[in-house]
Amino acid sequence: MFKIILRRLVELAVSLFLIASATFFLLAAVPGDALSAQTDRLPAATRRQVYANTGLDKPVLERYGLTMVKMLHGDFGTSIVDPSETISRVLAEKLPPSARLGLQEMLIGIPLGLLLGVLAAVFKNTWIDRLITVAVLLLMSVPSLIIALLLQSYFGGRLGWFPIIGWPEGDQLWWGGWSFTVLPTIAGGLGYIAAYARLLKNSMLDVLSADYVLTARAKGLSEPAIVLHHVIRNAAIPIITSLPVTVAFGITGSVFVESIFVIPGVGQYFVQALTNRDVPIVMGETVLLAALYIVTLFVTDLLYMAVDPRIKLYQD
Amino acid sequence: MSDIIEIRNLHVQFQEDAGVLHAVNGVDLTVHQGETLAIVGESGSGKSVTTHALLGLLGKDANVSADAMRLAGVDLTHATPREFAAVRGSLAALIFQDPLSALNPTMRIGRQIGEALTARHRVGRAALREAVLAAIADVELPDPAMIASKYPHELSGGQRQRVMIAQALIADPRVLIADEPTTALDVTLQAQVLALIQAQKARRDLSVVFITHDLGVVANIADRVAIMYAGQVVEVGTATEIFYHPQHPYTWGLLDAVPDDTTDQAELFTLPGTPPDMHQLAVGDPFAPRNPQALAIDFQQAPPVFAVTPTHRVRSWLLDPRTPAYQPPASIRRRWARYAALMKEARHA
Repeated sequence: MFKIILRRLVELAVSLFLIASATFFLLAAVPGDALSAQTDRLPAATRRQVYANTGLDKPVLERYGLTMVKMLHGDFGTSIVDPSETISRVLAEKLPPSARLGLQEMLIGIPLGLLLGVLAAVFKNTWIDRLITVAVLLLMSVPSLIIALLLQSYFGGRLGWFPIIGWPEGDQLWWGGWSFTVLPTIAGGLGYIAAYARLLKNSMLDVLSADYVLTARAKGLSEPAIVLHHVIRNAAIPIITSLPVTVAFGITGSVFVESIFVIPGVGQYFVQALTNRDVPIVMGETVLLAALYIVTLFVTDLLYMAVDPRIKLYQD
Repeated sequence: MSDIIEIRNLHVQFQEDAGVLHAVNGVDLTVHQGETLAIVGESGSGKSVTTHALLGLLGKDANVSADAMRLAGVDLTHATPREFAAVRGSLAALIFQDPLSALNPTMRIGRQIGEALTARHRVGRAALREAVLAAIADVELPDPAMIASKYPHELSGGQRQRVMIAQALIADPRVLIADEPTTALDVTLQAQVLALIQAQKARRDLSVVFITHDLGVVANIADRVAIMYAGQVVEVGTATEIFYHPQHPYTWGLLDAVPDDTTDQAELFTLPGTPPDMHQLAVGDPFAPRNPQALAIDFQQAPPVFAVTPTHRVRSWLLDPRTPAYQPPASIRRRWARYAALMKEARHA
């Protein structure tokens, strides 16, 4: 196990280096930079001064070298747009709301989606299946943006059950202030329900037509026993594949839901940083997302091995 | 001899997007207590569908109707899914062609075998383990405890097929339905698995239904043979009758396609044409388009069943007394000659 973790850590470092480099050069290749809009009308001398202050006047390769060396020391630098911001401060401040929202969405959305998927597959071609299929299709095709607005106007506006905007802060950052979180969680969670219901239904239908399910029937097992003992575990294998992406993106914020409900999360901030070409912030974000993704992939591998005895990834 | 399986006038249609698929069209089949019946036919001839219909294993898209379906005295003609589930495993057990895909990849062997018992009865842990280990030992696998703790992919093909047989026999069924059980195995393993089935049959007074497309396998183990084509039994008889006194041109084709001591290599035969499209019910004899001996009436009217002997029945106009004289192929005439000799011997004995 120690060896596996060591190997994974080396892989993590190499991947992060490559991803950071790619991000840096892609950003450098895009026309314009963080200062071009602000300094457009300044006299040439002043503009040069501003550029020199931020180091953006140096050649690309030199900037790359400086950035990577600083990153090695864990320093992503300060925001170019707002020099008082650093990525760690942004994360400390804005990640908790996003992560909590994402976790709430996933904890409710994924199990519910899986349950609907099982129902749709078991009751295939009945009204239950059709109802779920239509609902899933609807949820997948209507953007969360519109659902969020509808939720706001009905449950927040007309019925007045929940606050329309806002997010718990201070003591209630991670726990409490639930009424604020209800509508955003539903708005974001519906997508998970739809995606996972569809995924599990398809995977269950595959497994239900497998030969070993016929064997189980031939043994005289009842349908519930077959689904419970033979189908679900095998149908879960493709689900595990999609989990890391879901988790990594889930806790790093959603642009739409955060902006509609005015949640002080990272999702919106990062999109802003990208449009501003705020290189240090974007680099920090990318590396964070990549690290998160790689770690969840490792957890996925462990899950795989637990669920499917045929998979042996680490033979040392 | 009492009948352990009786199927009369079975029809199965599948509702498909492309239309209705007529998979089985009026099959009559009986299996006597303690015998081995081989069902032989090409893919899509309705062999598996027939046995799956008997056990209620077809999906909701299948439309099954029969005048009678009986299994070990239980009337299944109008059985509910629950009644079907009650006879599966206990009265009739199935083994399949590919034991790798027929075993759950994520469940240990021991548990999969044990399920065939726990599906119907409450069995204590210790008793269950004992029964499972006994069942594994019974199919001549070494070190049952080790096998029980393995997953399917950790066993060899032959071991897996033995596990399938152990799983089928642990609940002590009356009938074993073997659906191409040796097709996925190499020749040595085939012989071993066949010998195992034969040994178990003798010990347990099992009746065996052996589904295959390989007449060569059938010759060694079958008491009786039913030849299926286009969802019908076109010829049924004792093994001797089918091998040495075949009457249906389709049976001739099948026999000529298998090399044995009565055929020269040069004579090895390939049946022309392809199996019929089962979405349309044929007018006349479904085999007529591929039949070198086809008569005019074959294209107009479906043939009735003619009895050659009390045990030998054929669905072909060739057997009609009005049919003009005809000559079967030379290879078949040689078989007939041997049959005549056999009959003569039998009369003298």
